[in-house]
Amino acid sequence: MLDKFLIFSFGGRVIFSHKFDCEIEGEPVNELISNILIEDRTGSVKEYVHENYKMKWQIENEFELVFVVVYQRMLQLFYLDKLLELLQENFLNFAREQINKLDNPNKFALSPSFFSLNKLKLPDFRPHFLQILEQVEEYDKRQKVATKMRTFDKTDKYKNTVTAVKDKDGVGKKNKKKKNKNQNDQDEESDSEESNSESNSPSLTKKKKISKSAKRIKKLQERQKSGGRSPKRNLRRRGRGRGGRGGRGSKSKKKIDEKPQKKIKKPMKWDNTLTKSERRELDQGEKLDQMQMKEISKQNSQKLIGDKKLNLDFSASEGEDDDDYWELSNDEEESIDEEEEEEEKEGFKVNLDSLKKKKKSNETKKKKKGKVANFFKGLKGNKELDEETLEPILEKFRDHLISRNVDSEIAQKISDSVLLGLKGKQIGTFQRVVKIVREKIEEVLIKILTPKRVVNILRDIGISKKKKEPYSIVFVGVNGTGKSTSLAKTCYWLLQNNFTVLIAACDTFRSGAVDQLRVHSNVLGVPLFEWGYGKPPANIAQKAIAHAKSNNIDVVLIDTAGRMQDNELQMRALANLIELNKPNFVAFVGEALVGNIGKDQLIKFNQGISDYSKTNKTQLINGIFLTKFDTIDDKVGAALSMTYSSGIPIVFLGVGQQYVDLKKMDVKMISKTLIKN
Amino acid sequence: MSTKETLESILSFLPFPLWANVSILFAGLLVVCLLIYLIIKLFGRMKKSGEPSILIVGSMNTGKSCLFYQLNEGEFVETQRSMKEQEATFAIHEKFVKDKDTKAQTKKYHFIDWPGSPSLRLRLSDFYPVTEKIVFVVDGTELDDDTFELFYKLLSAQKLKEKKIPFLVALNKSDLIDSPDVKPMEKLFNRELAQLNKTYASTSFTKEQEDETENAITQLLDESEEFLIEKLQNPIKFVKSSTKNGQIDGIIDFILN
Repeated sequence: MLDKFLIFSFGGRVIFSHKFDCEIEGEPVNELISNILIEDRTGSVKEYVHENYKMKWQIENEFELVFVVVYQRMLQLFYLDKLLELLQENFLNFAREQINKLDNPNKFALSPSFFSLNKLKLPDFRPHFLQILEQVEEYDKRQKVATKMRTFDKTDKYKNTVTAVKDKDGVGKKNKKKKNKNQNDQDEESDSEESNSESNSPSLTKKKKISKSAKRIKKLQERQKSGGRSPKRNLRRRGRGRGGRGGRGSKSKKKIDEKPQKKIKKPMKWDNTLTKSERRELDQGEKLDQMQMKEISKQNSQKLIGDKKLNLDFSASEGEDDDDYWELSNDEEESIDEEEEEEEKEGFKVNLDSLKKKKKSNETKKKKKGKVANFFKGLKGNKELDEETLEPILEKFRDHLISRNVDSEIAQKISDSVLLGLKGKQIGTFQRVVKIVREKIEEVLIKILTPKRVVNILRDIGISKKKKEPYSIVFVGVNGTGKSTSLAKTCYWLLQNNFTVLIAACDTFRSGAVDQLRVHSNVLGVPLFEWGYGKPPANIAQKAIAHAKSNNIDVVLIDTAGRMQDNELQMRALANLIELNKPNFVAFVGEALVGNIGKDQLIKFNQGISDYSKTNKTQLINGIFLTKFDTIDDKVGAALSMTYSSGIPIVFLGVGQQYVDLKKMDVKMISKTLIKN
Repeated sequence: MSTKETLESILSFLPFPLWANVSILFAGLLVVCLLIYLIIKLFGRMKKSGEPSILIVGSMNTGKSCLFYQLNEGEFVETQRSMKEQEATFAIHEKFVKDKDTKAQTKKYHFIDWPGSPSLRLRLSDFYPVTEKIVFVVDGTELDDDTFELFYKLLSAQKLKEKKIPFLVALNKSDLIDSPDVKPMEKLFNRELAQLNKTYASTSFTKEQEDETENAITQLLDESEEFLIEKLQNPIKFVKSSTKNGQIDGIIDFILN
């Protein structure tokens, strides 16, 4: 089912690779690296699709390794996250073992250069890899088989039927047989307790003492069964309201015998006199996390608060006391016990349960150490960065970026990528965490703002000139962003570089547009191609380019009317113009003042041009002109939002209303301005 | 007794009694030691980054990381696109320096393998001060605009021009059938660089932008005269190579001389 598995270092060395049956077409992993990993977009996406392949990955920052699994795009494999995590742990343990086996183990230490420079030639990891893969696939298969449907007597519906009410002694027809069967098989049985119904109708499930791991497995199964949603949510929807937590909630075992107390509504505290526990209670964000994490992540939302690993959160987190009111039916309990026994019998090296327990014990150990140990660790010189230290710093930076007019979603995505990029990294004694985070953020910003391909318009014009064809630039954008002014500035710049220019007035809608361009053409001494108002712009552009070709003019600058990104008719007209004339460069003119809407404009323009054209290969927006840059002081975040969301590079900045006020994009300056306190 | 008196006389300039003076002296010595230690540590860090190094650069997918591993291990190592730079100090693998003198066999060089992705290129200029030589790796069979842009950018860097850093253009992937010869490639480079030269003539706004000097691309030669690579300040050589097969003699010669 998988196509390829790779372990490679940040520097590029492939440490382990396993190819399954088919040959891989193209280089999907290289595309993954270029588009996601290098650009630090790891916070926003969990899987990457390229042509026919889908890829999932895991980054290990401490040793600078990346684990990637490539599989067919159409498949939906849920066990991959688990597989990647297991392989990561196992590989590192494998390496450590190899070092310990040597005569002088102190000669080598696990570090990034250990892997990338291959200091110790490791034996083949393949048998371990295949074994783990087999185990995970088996486990996954068993999961799918083990879930059985409940019998009718155990459903809510049955409880409300007449037969259920009649059986007041608590034992139904079918369950009588099962009860006898269970008495023969197992010894433990507690008294029948009421399950989910509010009424006094006798329930039929027997509650047993179930181990925590069995409960967890059961939860996983339910989740998979219900397609990823928490089962509690399904239950909620059946009309229980939000009393799920408050009503049954924690410690239901003890409370069920008592009468349900009347909940008196406490007055809401609006001032600052909240205690810490009250504050935590009011923090809906946390509750949302635990209940709806998986659903939200599937919808690709960005509300990831903290880094709670959803799929692999086997270790019990504090709030998981809701499963107390879930009772298991006898059949399912049996099957789970059998599973557990099986696993232990076979004696797998990587017992998933034991791994969970190990993880939990590691975590608790770490917590116990506390601040004193961290202090001494810091002195020793090997501090490891983790969420707790990074999160508050990242929040401050996030707020800072937002105050600089960066889109809040994008600020969140950037901070997520930085978190993933720094987690687990070892730092020295004299390095402050804030400084490291700042450097990393600056790095990420520079990477985002730097264009992936160098845009050199003058050089491209030179190439077109050799081919004896005019180079056409179209200026598009919403109303009022400064297209005509940018056009004039570009014209001036091109004249300075000794090119001949023709201006095409294809804004036939706005009153005064053509006249404005006439003024510019007179001042600059450049011919203007115009056909008055009201004529179709696509045809004007066509004729202008033909005119330029016949008169050996180097560049044609085409001005279009401002239009709203949501207006279908106008977007169609624009797509038509671009398709008909095939310009060499489509420049989107956007204001720096605009903020988050600018991102929306850009994306919708790009989409509109490609959607409403008739052919498949259309010319998309090549570059952004960011105008009115002199009006924003240090709130330069719009530049970042636009580039991040679309991947289109910013080519020029407009910094004033004079002809000379045109600057090339300075990536370092903008990123420094964004970070500066 | 005499020692106490001598100590008293030495430390008489301090206004406190003897024991206080001695303790102050000790504290002072401790502080001085700490300072020296810190300075050495900082200095050590600085010195490490100041090592003269050989920079391996080029656009994506040309074989830079491959070359790096060939030099280190003497064999072909499978690589993916680099996400981060790699640096290491090592002597060239014995396979390539078998028939050379002992100095060549044992001398260690500091190599820096820089990723080819344009997004990661900005920090490259930080390493110009420590660069001794540059190996510019090119995919002989697939030349794109990015290659020439990067080459031009390197040539126009002030710090590299001043020290007349030598360049070696390694036409890699010579094991492939359609890999070109050196002479036609030299001419092609000449043409492309000449064209780029025209586009980087100083215009109105580039004069104003004086803040970004490290990454600024300036015109190499005057437009009026013919553009020839020989006229440039940095000596440039062209060789063919194949990092896959280990045929990197030209590169080895360049490094050793």
